Amino acid sequence: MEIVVASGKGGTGKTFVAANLAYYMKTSVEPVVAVDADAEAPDLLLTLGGSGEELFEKPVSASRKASIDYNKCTQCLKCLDACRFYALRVIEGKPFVIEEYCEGCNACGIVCPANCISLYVKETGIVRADVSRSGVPVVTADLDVGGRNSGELVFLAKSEAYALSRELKAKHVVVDAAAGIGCPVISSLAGAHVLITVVEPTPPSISGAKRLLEVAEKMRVKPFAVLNKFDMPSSRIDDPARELGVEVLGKIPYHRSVVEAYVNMKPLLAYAPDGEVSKRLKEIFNYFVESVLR
Amino acid sequence: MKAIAVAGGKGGTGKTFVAVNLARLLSSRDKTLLVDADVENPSTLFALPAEVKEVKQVESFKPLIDEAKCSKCGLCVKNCPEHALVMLVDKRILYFEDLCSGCEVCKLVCPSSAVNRGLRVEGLFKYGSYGESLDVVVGELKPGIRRSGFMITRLIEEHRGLFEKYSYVVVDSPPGSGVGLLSVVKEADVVVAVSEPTPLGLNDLKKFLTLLERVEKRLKVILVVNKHGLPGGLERDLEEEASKRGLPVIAIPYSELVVKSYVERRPIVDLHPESQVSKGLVEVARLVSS
Ligand code: SF4
Ligand code: SF4
Ligand code: SF4
Ligand code: SF4
Repeated sequence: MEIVVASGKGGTGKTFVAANLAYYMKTSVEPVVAVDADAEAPDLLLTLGGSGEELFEKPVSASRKASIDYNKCTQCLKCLDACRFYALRVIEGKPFVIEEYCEGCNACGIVCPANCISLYVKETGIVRADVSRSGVPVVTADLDVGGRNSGELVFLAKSEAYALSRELKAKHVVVDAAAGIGCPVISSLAGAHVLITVVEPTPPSISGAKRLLEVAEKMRVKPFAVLNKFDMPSSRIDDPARELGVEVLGKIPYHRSVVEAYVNMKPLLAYAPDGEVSKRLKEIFNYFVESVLR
Repeated sequence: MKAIAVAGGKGGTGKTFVAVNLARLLSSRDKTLLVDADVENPSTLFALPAEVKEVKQVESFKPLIDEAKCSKCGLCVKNCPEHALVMLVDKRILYFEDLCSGCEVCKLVCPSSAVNRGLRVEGLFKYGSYGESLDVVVGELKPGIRRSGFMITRLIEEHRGLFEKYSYVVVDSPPGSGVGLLSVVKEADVVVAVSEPTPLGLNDLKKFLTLLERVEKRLKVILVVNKHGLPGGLERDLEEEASKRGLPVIAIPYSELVVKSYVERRPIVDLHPESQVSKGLVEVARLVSS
């Protein structure tokens, strides 16, 4: 089964839940491969202790860009009108491609009367696989800074994770999705079975989660929620479960050991296995594995 | 006009919190515009009780194929860069809106003028204000639309003229390190990098500083260490990163007042101007405008 942990808004503890879920499944009965799909800020491997053993690393070239042959260009600027993405700009009468904005659609190439625009393929990131120090295999999508097309990258990372899970006879894949609701998240949800939305009791987090749940519904992924930091001071949300309209697997209290585990680069379940927060996590994960996954 | 990008790498570092308070402080000097470019999750309006006065739909192209004119030549399908058009064996053409980028290539290549211009909504621009001298523009992506980068580009490109009307433009930047963030940072004069003293915060800061190296123009960069004083925190490492590059560092301590002001939906610099947190923010505003 593919389980996606996502949050809509960043900073709610999505990676915290994903890392500990993967660690829990690994140490209990269910072999698992974890995927970090937050290609712009991947930190799942770090949260699981960093790399213990590197399995592989593959460059990914996923996007096309336009380039102009200035020997042929007559500076007619027809290309400029064709570009819908603000990717062409005129400097001293000449058109220039702004690489970051270019979608590689070739509209400029089609209209260019001098036939001087061509497309090239650009490397945009890497997919790597490691066994983390806490023993969980992790596949990471890592986008080049300033890169685009992280959806494609996520898709490739997930394919690698499936290949790895077959090799390791792992039945489940846990995906730590990017924050937000855009391309990488949609790619994370594509083909997934279950979504765990991590929310905290604040209005922006609830609103982010609602937007995420709309996407999940479109993509027919079964949604659940986990309420993190539910005892935050002066929360104004009375009943987040009702607000969201999905089953809440459980509530996780806030405790400074969570931050300490982060700083020490260990999943909380390994860092403070007998603490109050770990106890709650185990209850939630146990229920999840027994009632949802089976 | 001075453009200030407030960036935070991963989510949850306090980027929006700094952006809102900074905008509030700058607006006491001169006309200020707060731009929420975190289009997948705009939250400035949760932190600032601004009054929304206008909402505009952001639309883009979608093809409407006129069956009567279409000669079934298949050129649109062949040239569509997103594979959003598919021709079935019976020559019917299927369109997948989710995949379409709105590039208009199908319309350009159609020899029979059978592709007409349709429109679809990708998101909203919201316009509001708070007090006399602070205005707000929010870009909000519609759920299920994957193309957040382009929404950000449009938010900037379509408001260039508006930006010029303000002395300060504070942009709450998108998280991550991708093209969305880059397009915001490229427009800025000053970048306020908000980080937190954890291994992930440090990791992210390094990634962000690499991104800044890609921007050719000279930027003034200020590092804000938020939640300063976390147990076992990496304040020293963050400061070292900054001093390697000669960046000024401002510490903002962790405080319950931050959460409280959030819950009250008021900038902390208004509610608790004497707090250590507000003093840190005042220092950020001073460096930004100096
Ligand atoms: S359309 Fe072609 S020839 Fe005309 S300005 Fe653009 S690149 Fe040059
Ligand atoms: S390929 Fe498309 S996006 Fe790139 S410059 Fe040409 S028209 Fe613009
Ligand atoms: S607008 Fe572009 S992406 Fe959309 S269907 Fe036409 S060619 Fe394909
Ligand atoms: S290019 Fe025009 S005529 Fe040809 S199949 Fe497409 S819509 Fe029909």
